[in-house]
Amino acid sequence: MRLLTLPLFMILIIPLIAAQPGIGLATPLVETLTIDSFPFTYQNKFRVYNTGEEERVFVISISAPYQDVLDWVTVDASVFTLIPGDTKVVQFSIYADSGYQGEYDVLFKPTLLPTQTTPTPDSAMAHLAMSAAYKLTLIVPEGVGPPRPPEEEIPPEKPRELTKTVEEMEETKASTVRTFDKPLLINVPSRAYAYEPVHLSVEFMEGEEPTELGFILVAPSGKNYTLESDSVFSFNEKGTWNVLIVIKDEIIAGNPLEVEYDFGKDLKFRILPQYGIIVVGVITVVIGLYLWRRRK
Amino acid sequence: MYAKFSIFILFFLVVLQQPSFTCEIELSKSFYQPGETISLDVIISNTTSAKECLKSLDITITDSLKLLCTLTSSYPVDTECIESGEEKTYTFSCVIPLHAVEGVGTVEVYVETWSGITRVQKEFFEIGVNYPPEITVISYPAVVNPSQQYEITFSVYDNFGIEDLVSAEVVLHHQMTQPSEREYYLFTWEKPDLYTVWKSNTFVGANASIQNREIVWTLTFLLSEIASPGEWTLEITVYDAAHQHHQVFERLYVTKYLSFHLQGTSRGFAASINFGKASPGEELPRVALILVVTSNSSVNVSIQGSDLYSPEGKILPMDIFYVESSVGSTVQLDGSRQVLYSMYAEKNGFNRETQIHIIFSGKLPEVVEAGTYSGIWYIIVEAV
Repeated sequence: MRLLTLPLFMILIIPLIAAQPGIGLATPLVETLTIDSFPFTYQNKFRVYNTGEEERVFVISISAPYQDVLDWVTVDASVFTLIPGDTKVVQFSIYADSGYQGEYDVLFKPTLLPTQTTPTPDSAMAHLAMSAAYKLTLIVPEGVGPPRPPEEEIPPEKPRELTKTVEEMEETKASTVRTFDKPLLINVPSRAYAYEPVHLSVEFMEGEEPTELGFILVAPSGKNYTLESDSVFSFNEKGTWNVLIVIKDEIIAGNPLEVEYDFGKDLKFRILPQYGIIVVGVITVVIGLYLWRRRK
Repeated sequence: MYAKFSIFILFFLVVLQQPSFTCEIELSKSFYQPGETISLDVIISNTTSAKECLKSLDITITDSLKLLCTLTSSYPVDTECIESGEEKTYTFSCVIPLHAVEGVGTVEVYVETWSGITRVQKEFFEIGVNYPPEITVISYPAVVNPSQQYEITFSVYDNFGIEDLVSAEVVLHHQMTQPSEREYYLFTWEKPDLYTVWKSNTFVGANASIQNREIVWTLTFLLSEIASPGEWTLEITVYDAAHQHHQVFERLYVTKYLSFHLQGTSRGFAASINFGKASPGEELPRVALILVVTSNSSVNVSIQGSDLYSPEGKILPMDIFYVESSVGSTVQLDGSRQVLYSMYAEKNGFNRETQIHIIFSGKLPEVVEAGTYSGIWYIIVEAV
């Protein structure tokens, strides 16, 4: 009985000491910018903090009331991983070649997406995403730009501007994306060994079109790999990878994945399969020579 | 050939080891200005095998053109003696006349003993006007994010050398003039502390590099998460021994800052709202969430909900859910960003680990498919 006490205690205590996520944001004092003439250029930066207790992927989302205003805005990093206590300075740029008069709120939202969206059985559950926001109001006075022709305004928050698109992530271009609020089953480990095949999968709980779902793996060197929703992948770089879950080209969640190097795994999964025939050949020759000399 | 060389080495060593009678001069500092008193120690050391008695000790102090002071001490036979292996220190002082010429000054000591030993020793110093120290700010951060380390680098030049410096003070302040985590940070150095020892009521790291008459200080500092956003002043003041000082001012800006994490009222809380099981038409259990916010300004707290889905694709519409604040406001989720707390600040314009309560509730429709429902809701905090 006493032997069982410790494991039972561990089982009880583990959920209590789960790492807590936290986000911080330092923003410029500039809250309003008046565009006196076009073309207009402006740059500034904000700092994102990982104030939590675990390594997490941070996604910068940007929203604006009109697509043409959103097109003015870019950031130099839209998805990145931070270890606890670490920070990242994100530079944003506004370049407007022309525009309509009006007052536009641009919202920058560094966001910690949930690392999993699996529901607990027999329950109604909302997973929480945490966003720290910075609002910058751009004013185009009368006379600087023509009046905006009547057109449909992008509803400010619907469809939700969850993240930037993957394509635009690479171009560091801001964008809105479509709604995402469907539960997913995500199978992504938090650690892996280099060159060892790892099974990664993600699927809709309600069995939607699986081809829409997939992964973007971002290596520590910055190299990107696009995978299908059910794939086996061998990580070929040591360090922290970003595993981004995407629907078509939209990022909906992100997990860091730590890849370690182990010579045994390297030998088994890379060296022997790739160079095994050469090794076998060399060993055969050596044994052959040895036997030949013994017979002589 | 080798024999001659060996004899030379031996002779050299014997000379080195030979007992001697020496005289040294120690000045209190290396720079003096006219009107100031120069004080000096004459240290006479006797390492000969016999006692030596002084006959006279003559000191002359000159500038580059003329004699400034003459100090003479004569001793009768066997009155001022230094035993073998001992040393004695004689202290003298002299006021440098106001008409002394700026430039190199010389102290010359002539010692004579009754046994006929004479020694002459010279020491140089500088005569000049002691100008106030000069501060040059080399680098400082124009924009400061709270809770981040930054460096201020500045140099101080003193024409009397850095040993003339007695104190330095670096102040970073917003509006207050008293030390405060939110508005006022003070870092001080005082002689005789090491140049790298700075005192402060907050974190500070210091590096110093000295070159000739200049010292370059680099201070590493960090402002608190609640440091007031806005324009701050960097004020550097340095004093020298003559109570002269130099002060410089620079402007810098502290950005807005906020950080938050979520905390449940139950143990083992995960970042989710779990309403558990309920029957159609039944009130869902109220779920409380605590948002722990630290910020250097007021914040807006918003919530953005969405429908919950079952694995079979059935929908639990978001408008059955309500979110309440502790100040009485309630919003019904509609998919847009809805402000729950506006301009929230627990203290005077800031929050420190402030617990902001959010209560989620809802009522299931009369007709709803049995199943498991989930989705993603957003908690958005904005510094205002």
